[in-house]
Formats: sequence, C-alpha cells, structure tokens
Amino acid sequence: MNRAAADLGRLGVLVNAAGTDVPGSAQELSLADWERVVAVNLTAPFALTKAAMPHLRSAGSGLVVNISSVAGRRGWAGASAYCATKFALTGLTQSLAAEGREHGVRVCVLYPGAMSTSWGTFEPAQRRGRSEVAGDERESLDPAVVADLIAWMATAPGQPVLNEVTVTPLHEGGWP
Amino acid sequence: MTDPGGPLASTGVLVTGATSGLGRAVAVRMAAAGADVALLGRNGRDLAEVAAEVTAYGVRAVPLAVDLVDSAAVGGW
Repeated sequence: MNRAAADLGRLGVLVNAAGTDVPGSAQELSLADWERVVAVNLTAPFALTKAAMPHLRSAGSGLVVNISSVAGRRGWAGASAYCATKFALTGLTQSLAAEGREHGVRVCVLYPGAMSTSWGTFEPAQRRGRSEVAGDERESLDPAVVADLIAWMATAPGQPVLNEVTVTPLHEGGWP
Repeated sequence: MTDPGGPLASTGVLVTGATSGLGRAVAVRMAAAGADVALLGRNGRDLAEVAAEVTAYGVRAVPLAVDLVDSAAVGGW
C-alpha cells in the first residue's frame, strides 16, 4: 500500500471491487471454500482499507467504495458464503465510515444487481439458473454505467454522502 | 507527462479486481476523469492490458499483481 501510495503521489480513492464466489449449497461447500470467499470478499477490503486509511486521513479527504451486491441485502440458496460476506461488508462499511468521518474520509457501500460481467468461476449464463434470483434475471447492468456512478461519487463534493446505494436494472429478479 | 486535466487530476485511485468486470470498468472510468490508477489483480498479462487502457488517457497506471486470497500478503503489502 505504501508503495502504491508513493507511486500514485496522492491516494484519494479506494474501490474494493474484487469479489469471488464458490457455487453450491452449504452442504456442498467445504470449509476451505468458505474461507476463500471470506478472504477475498471480506478480509481483503478490511486489510486494504486499514492500510489506505492513514493516507486518506493525511490528505484530509478521501473515499472508499466497497462493492457489495444485492446478495448483501437478501440471502438465497446456493450462495451462503457469498451472501454472508456481502452482508458483513455493510457492517464493515458502517464502522469504517464512523471512524473516517472526522477525518473527512467517506466510506460507502454499493449494492449492484445483476451485471453483464464474468467473474470467479462463473459466466453470466452459468449464474442464470444457479439460484432462484439469477433464474429470474431478465436484464443486467452495464458495468460502465455503474462505474460512472462510482466516478460521480469520487468527484462529488463532500456533502451529501451516498452512504449506501442499491443499483439494479429496471427488471431485476434479485431485488427487492 | 502533460497534465491530462479532468475532475480527478492528481488524485490517486486504487482499484481491486481491476482486470475484469466492474473493477476494470471503474479503473478505466477513473483514468478518463484524470486520476492516476493503481490496479490490483492476479493475472500479470491482464493487468498489463488494463494498464495500457489507463495510460491511454495520459495518466499513470501502477499495476500490482496480488492474490487477495493470501491475507498475509494483503496485510503486509
């Protein structure tokens, strides 16, 4: 982190966008699967935000955006580890926001619905039909549009703060 | 390097998951707004590809090959 901050000059924004999933019911998930999802989706945002915070604080302003999912607002079958880590990201975000506030550091959580991206071991087509939520999927968000929203959050004045944002396609099976 | 300008000029942005999906879109979008961007991802070749997209906007890219499964590496890095 120190190297990244030094190379960048000033670190002002951290976007925790990395995420992973291991498919299957809780009966099918091994403890190692669980720990892998926890490491990437929850431990990494904690460790990275912890490392970034001194840089953001010293600048007197900054923004951390944690990318959750509608799976961070509602649990469904076949995604116990994923949903658990995404819910946990909300608590992490709120705690860090409370700690960062007096230093001008905003910490926000974004809950996107279905996006037209491939990640982890899934292609969008594989995600469809994997769960009741994905089975309802009729549209997906263009990641470029969600990136526009995050860029807006980064360039917006200090007030108001978008603490939590749920963004979905108009027709989204996963939310509400 | 010429100053690319933009609302995020001289701001550093660190993006994880930068080689695909939303992370990649965010990295490129931030670069378009003038930010210098540190890119975290696992795959060096993919990182180089995104870094090229970022630097095309006249800003700096700092590619960092890190596997976020390795919490010791994440914490110590």
